[in-house]
Amino acid sequence: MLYETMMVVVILAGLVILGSSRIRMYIRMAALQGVVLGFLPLALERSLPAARTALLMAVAIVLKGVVFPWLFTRAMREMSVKRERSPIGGYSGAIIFGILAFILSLWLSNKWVLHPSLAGRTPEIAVPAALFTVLTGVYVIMTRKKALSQAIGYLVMENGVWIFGLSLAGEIPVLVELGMLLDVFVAVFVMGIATLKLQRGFGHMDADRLNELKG
Amino acid sequence: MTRMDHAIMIKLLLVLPLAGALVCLLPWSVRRVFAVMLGFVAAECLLVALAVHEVLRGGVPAGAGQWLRIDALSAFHLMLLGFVFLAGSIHAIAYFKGGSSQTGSWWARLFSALWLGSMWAMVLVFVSNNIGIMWVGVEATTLLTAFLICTNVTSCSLEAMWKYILICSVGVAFAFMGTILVAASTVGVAGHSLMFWTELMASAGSLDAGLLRAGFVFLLVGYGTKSGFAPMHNWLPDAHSQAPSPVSAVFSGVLLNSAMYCLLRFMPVVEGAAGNGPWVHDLMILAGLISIVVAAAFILLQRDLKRLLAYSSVEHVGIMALGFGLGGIGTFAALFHSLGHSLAKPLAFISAGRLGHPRGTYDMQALAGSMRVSRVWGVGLFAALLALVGAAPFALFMSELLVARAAIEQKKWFVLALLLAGLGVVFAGVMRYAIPLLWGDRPDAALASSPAAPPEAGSRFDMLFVCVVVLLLVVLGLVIPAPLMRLLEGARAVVEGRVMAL
Repeated sequence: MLYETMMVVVILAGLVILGSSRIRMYIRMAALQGVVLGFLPLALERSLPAARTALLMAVAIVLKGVVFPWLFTRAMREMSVKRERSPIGGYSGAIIFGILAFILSLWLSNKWVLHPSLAGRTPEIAVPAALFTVLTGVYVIMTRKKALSQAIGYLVMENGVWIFGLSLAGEIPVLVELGMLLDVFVAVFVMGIATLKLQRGFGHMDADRLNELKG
Repeated sequence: MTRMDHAIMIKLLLVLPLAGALVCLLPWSVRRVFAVMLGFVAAECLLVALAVHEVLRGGVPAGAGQWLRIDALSAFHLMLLGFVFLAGSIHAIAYFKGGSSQTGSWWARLFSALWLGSMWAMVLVFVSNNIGIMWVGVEATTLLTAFLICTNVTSCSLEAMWKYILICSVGVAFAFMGTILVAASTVGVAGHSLMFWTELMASAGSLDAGLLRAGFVFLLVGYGTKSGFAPMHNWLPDAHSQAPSPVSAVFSGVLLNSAMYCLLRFMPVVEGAAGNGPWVHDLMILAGLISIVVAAAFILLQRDLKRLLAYSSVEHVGIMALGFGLGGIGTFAALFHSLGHSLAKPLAFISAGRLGHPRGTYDMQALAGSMRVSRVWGVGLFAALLALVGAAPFALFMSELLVARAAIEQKKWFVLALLLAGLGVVFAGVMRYAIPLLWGDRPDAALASSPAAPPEAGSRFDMLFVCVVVLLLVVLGLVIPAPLMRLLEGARAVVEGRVMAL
């Protein structure tokens, strides 16, 4: 039950991001997803975590719940942008996309037959929730116009990948998991610097006005 | 060499560039830091040569338990990496010397550190036996090379960098989901542990075929984005055209191959599972054909020399994917093709850089008459373009012929027709631009104070470089030396899943 509740929270946070225009809300919802997902191993194993899992959880929660939101909030202040303006497809279009994406995710995950030992451990809602979150992130990247929103979209997508990884793979070596977290951290960091550079180079950070390179 | 030596060698391969990157950050002067960087790259190339030598002697160097491993496929790609990085480093020095870009010593140190860092990440991709670590390597290349694109900060290079990070990060995330699905397919297989490629290969027959198929679709989209398959190639022309020429050379000559290499690792695994054989090949053929057709169409529309070369990379990646998809002799042809491409494309980018960078433009009309500006780089560019469009007797002509033969052997006439049409369009398109670019009237001739200015004489070294690469391309088109043949055949056996070692 705990696991299902967590997934519902993650999915709802994704829907809020789809329907909102305030960048502060994006940051909060992505952080909420990150913290909930940080505790996911607890819900999966239903016992006290081993040392390596605990380490991984701690790193994930600190990064996604504290470091990234702080970075993004700072970037937001420095560039004084608060709102996304007129995304492609509008906000109602985004909500409709969200519903369709959820149906698609359910359909797709029904086609994958998991090994009994995995299926017994992984709640049914895990794979659709993961796919839905990934699709939400990609949609935000494709339709929102501020570079900052796109970077947050990337983070949302990574949250989906995290659910996917935890619930599908029997056991991922801790080295790989740490490498992945590190990569996400650096990616977000690099995107942060890039948005600042964009701001200084162009005097704005609207990715849709980046259109000098064509053909 | 003993197993012990192998383990040390393979670890040194990883440690050296990383150490070099850190050393480059020390407070050197601009001249010194480039010399240090070149020294580390050269040392790494010696190690790569040693590794290739060991593989040719029949060894499979491994280290750190099962985590690191060099078989023929890895050795072949390491060889490409060594050549491209060495050529790129030498020319980076010349390129930045006369340039107008910021040349503070901090900037030079940062550039060198990132350069060696990207080299490290690509080596990591090639030597890791764990599919998770391989993925970490690919992601690391994205992040480390991102800043190399905008070493010269302009609005265009920032735009290119943003597109590159965003599109490739999304792509690489899909590749990670594919990796997870492959890992999920191993659950329940007796004795399965972690995500080692060798173990995947050993138990391919008993893995879950459905999950592997789903995984391969994600991998193809993900790694395909990074290796420049159309229609996920949008980042590529921007990044290649905005990056400094030595960086473009690395992008085209190694970065695309490293993502393709990951797909090659998964092909035999997915194929090995029951009933997946032809399906994997059909997907690769489809991806290859789309890339060839899209690239051929866009090549006709280019005005910018480096964008032209970038679309040519999309075309060549398509030809490689097509070769791997056809299988059999096609696999060999595709590997040989990537060798020829990694020789010719860096030459093309470096020549283009040396011609265009001093004049601050890559517009082909503005660069018209380049042969009169610099004989050496004019010849280099023209030879590289000839090789790239597949003119005889260059190596790429032979490999394209072999890909076509593979299509004929399998009676895939539609594939053959599209391939030949694509090649024909590219040939005509590139030559239409190349002739005026090199021999046309110079647009600035009227403005030049001394119209009869003698062509700029390249240094001896430049001449030597161009001659060696062109000679290699011609010789390889006529005959493949025995050791190279063994390496190529060994790599082919790995891709076809016939043996796990040479």
